[in-house]
Amino acid sequence: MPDLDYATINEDALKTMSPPGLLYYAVLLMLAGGIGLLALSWCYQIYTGMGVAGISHPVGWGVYIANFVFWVGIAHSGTLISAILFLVRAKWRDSVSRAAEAMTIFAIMTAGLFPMIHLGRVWVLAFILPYPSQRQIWPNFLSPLVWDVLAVSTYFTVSLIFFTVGLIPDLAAARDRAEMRLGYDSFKAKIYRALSGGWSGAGSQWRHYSRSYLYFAALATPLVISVHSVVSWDFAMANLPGWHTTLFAPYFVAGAIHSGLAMVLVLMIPMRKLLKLERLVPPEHLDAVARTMLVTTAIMGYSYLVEPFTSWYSGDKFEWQFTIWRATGWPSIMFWSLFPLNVLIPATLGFKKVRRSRTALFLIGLCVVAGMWIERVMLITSSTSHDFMPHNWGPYFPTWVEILITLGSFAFFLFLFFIFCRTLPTVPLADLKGQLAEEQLREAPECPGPEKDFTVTGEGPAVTAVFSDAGILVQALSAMCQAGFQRMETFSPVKIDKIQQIMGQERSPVRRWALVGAVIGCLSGFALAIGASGVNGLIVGGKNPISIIPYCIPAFEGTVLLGSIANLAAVVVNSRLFGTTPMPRYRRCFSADKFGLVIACAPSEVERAVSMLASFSPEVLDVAP
Amino acid sequence: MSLLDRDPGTGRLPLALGAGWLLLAAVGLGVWVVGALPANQPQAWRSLLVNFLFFTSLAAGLVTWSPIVLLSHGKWAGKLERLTSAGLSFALPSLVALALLWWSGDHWAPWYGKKLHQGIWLSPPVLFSRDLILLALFWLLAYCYLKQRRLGQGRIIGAWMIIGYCVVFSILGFDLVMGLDTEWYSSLAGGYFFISGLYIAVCGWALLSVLVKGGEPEQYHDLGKLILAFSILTTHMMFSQLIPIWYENLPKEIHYLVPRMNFSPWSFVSWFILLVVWLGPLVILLTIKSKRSPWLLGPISLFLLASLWIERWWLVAPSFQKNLDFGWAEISMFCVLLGVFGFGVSLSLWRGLPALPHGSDES
Repeated sequence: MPDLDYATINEDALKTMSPPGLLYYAVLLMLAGGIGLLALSWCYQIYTGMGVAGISHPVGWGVYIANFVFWVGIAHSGTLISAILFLVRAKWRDSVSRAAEAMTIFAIMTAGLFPMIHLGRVWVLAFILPYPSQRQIWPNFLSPLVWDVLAVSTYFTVSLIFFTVGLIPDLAAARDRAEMRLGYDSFKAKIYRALSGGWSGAGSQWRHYSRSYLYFAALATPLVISVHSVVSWDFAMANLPGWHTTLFAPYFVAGAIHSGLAMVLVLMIPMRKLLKLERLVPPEHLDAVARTMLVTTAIMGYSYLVEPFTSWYSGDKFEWQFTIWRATGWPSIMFWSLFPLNVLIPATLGFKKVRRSRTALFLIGLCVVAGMWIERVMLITSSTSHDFMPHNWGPYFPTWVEILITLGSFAFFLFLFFIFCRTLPTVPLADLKGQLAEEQLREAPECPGPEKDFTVTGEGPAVTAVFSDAGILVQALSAMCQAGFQRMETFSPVKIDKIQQIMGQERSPVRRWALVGAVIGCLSGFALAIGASGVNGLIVGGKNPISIIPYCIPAFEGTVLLGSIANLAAVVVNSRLFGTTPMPRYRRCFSADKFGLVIACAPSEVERAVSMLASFSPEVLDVAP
Repeated sequence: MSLLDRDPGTGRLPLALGAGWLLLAAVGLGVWVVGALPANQPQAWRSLLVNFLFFTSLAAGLVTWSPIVLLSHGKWAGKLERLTSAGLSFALPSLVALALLWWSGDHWAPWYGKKLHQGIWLSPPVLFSRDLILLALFWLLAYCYLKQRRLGQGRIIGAWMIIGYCVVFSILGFDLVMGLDTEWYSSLAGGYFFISGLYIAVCGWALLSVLVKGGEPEQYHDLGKLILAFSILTTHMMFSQLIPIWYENLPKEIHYLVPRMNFSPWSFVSWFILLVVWLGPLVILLTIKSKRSPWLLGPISLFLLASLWIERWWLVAPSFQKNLDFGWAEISMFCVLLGVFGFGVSLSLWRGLPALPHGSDES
């Protein structure tokens, strides 16, 4: 980003949160109407009964479950872009990660509607929760449906934590901007102040925050893979042609990421135009999303070829007749549309010209989103429609209730996304500014002298220097440290690992918190599953009530869930994120485009500190008595 | 000066080292021909299959890591990427080994003299010629890629090479692992085989990097993380294959798992693989020090490679034998292929590996 500076990034990103025009409200109203239709249709279904939906004998899982799988899939790219690409240090993620994370949260919320809608009697949903009820029956942890509840709820919780933690430095920037422009007591300032938890961008906060963010990414990465694997096992565990196949887990995961990336393109391309984010989301970053889609396209193509091959290879006549029927019976329209929509069309992203055309990217994104929705519907409805017994065969068509609820779910998702676009920073400011800071950093000697756990207070004399360059801050810090000053704190709008090195600080203790949480979570997952099966004492499906293989799933979800919660607790406690007021000596410009160095020293040392800091030409040099 | 700083064609392999590798191969071959082959022909030839699957995965995976790094814009590998080209030295030996497996097929393979429902697909001439042609095409692709890569190009052919690797090693997995039990099938067998092949290769890459002392702590750290990532991915693939089969408990599927999981002595091998190959890196590579220090990463990679050899053996042997029957056949053939592989890699290293500059041939 050669033509951008800290202030421009700050302004470009935060001005999207200014009051919108009439058109925005009109669209929002239209989407609210869509949600109204969803609600009315659902109420009608509850009042009249499940007969108003097309799901009946033999197809018990229809569009509702397909929508659930589709939306959980859409939710995948957010964590992929945020967590996995963070771990592999792909810089292009920065500009699209926030929108993708938000998309994840809203997509899971949308997905979460469908099991409830499908359930019919939504008020019995609590039966699936593992709590000691008066019924004395615990959920059966051998059931893939229970794994699904654990996986999706863990994914939602962890994604929400990841999203919220990632927002903190940007919310501080929004807080300071609102305080400056609208006044300290304005409604917006109050909201952002509460949400930012008193974030000051102090070196002592960044130290814990950056480690914690890394562990969130490390915990979320296997979670992304696990969630859609677990969703796929809802089907693969059933002895039905078309469903029972070992490939389902990686195939579902790849499909989920494929559709999620396509949705990122569909949302980001208009969003960058409408919110004027072209400078922050350059075409190269959309190009990178498209390149990543090429990988998922290849996996989809591989899966589409391997599935029928294995069906033939198996020699199982039920499998093979089902494969033939899917290509020639009523699902054939869906079957034959999959390869063009999900493989051939996105394969054109291999051409640079296609990747650089926003219109082409948008249209390809739409094709893939449509293709993946069709694929989910085909996979889910066709197997029960055409199982082992010909007298049991029957077609499935969605009714108007199912169609309206499906359309309403898109309105619900887009409504939430539109609100996000105007209320929260749509691009991660701190990450984007971090790229600039990296370019400014220069070598500076380390200094083991300073007080390692020093916390700046409002008392005693202190000298504050304000710089506009991260490199100069680091040089000044190193020099002051070499000169024998021991009580220092830095303020920065971005994470600067070099500060921790210069200050000779040890790695943050958040790693221990996360490890302990993860271990407790793993043991708790096993304990819950084994304990519940012990209380139930039932042999289900011929399985030993205490079966370690399936109980690895609750244990894994417990590991990630408690590991993430412990990690969150660690960053809140260690970075002192439980207040609403920033640290003493903090200035609002520190969240936007300036870097601060505060030296606490004895009154006799003040003059020396001032003269030394002056040699680094700070923009402001202040002495507090 | 590290071996990685040597220009191509400027050095010579030390005689002692070259002779050492060849001697290892010759002694192994001698023991195999004189001892193992007469004692139990099927087991002796199957030991060639096990070692072929291991070393070919290692060599082909190594070569494939270069386009993966290139296409993902990875700059972290630096000159360590040159090491991956050493895998090409095993191209010819792998083809010879596969041809020998074809030639000896009637001694060890289950496809002879049977009428199988897969028809021509599992007929030995079709199966072996298909695998030989595909493997040869893969190596040809790898050769062309490296030729272009030396010129700072290779993105397009690199993409095809990655696809080629996945396709060829899927088919090898379907044919030479899944096909050993003609009644068993799993749509994930091919996927598992090529992903675990990349896991073997990244362990090999890390070991080579430590041996040539050419890496920085940051690069070892990244290689360690890559090992960890691929151990998790391989575990996911295996678990994804295991759980639907275990859950449904269908006779046509479960008979692959039962000898491996339910009965000793193979169940002990399964536990070993679970704890070391699949879950081990999560523990042993948890600390930063274990990834950054060559003194730790090297032995860990070597240990994982040895364990991954056991995993390849575990994929093949229980389909034929109830007992472990691990003996001179496996050890001697391992020495043969290790000697050949070591000789090829050392020759490439000492003669100087090609420089792999990052160019700009964007498509």
